[in-house]
Amino acid sequence: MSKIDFMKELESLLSDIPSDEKEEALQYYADYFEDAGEENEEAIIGELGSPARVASIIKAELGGNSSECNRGVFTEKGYQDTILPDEKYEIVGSERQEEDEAPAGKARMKPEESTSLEVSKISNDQAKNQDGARYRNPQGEHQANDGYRNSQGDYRANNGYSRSQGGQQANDGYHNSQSGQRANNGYNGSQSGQQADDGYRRQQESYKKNTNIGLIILLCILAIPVGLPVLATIFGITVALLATIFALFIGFGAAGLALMGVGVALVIAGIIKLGIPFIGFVLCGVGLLSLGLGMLLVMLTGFIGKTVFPAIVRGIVNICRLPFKNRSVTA
Amino acid sequence: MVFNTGSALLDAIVLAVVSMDSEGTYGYKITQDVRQAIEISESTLYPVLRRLQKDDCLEVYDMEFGGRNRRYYKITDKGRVQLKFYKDEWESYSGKINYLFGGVS
Repeated sequence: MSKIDFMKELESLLSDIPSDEKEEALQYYADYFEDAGEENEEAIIGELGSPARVASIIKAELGGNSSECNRGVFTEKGYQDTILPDEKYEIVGSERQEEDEAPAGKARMKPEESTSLEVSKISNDQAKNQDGARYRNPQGEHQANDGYRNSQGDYRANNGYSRSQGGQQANDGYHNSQSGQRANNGYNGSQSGQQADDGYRRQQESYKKNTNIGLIILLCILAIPVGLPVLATIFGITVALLATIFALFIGFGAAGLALMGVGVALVIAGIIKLGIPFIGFVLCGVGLLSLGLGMLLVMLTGFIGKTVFPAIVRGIVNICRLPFKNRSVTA
Repeated sequence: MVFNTGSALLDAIVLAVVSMDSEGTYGYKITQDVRQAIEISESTLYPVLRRLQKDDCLEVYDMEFGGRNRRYYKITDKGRVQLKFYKDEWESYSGKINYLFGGVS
């Protein structure tokens, strides 16, 4: 990283502290580089670690840490800050000590190699490479925590997986909330980045279901002002239709029966009046006609009763079952 | 072996280094001088200097050097008193430890 980039990133990382403090700090380090001379620029950048580390040190001090003793540790290699260790030096028993000392909520700057208990000093060249590797930001994103890079890489792989599943909005929301957290607490993020794939998939599916139902409910709520009259209209029309059919049913039935009755009566009357053949035959004829019509209507009524009504009832039941269809299908 | 160096000891060391120059010194030089004795990161001292300055143990002034302004830190009277206090404490403390270790008391 060049000095200019270093200072620029440091400046942006310090944007959340009072501006006079920020100016003082930036001036100090600018002067530091100047006094060291150009030839030492790279070495110093290596020693300083990363802009994020320097920014943390500055902010930690401003947080009123001055009363905290036992922050520094004297190792074989010299003085070493336990909370913000130098990448070039590794402390014997560092894990335990840092667990005890680091207060909650502080950005933890664990160098990626800190698992080893060896106390070793990396040569300048190695430190340079380390530094170069650290700054290779594939997406050029703003990293608040350096030691977090590995777990962040894992997290990004998981995210790629989630996107290939169809870019669901739920997953995007999940992704966004995670990246929002990235800047704050690197430790939390590294834990979630290590989630097993299966667990992640399951979570993904539950998010999918939850979104669907959630969205539907939201849609219903929003649609109430418009939906209510529309629903009422639909309901009214349905009721009218049903009423019509029912009325027809009753009407046909009554009419049919009546006609049958009239028909029978006329036939009988005709037979009686057969004394005067013409009237008798006419009566019989009309009577039979009426009987026939009546029987037709009765048959029609029967048809309505046998077929149409059950169909209507079945249709209504199916409609009511629709929202729950998904649940019955997916076992 | 690991000895805890409190921030108090760091303060004392910085005050001692700055007091060696009657006219004061600048950040880079202070860091280099401290590194003669203990190995610290280049970033460790800024917070210490800032704190000492806020506590009025150090004062700052700018002086031109090589066409730009360089910030110098100089010990104040209050700083001198504090340094003397630290030195006495250190003598007492280290003396007791030395006694336990079987050395000269």
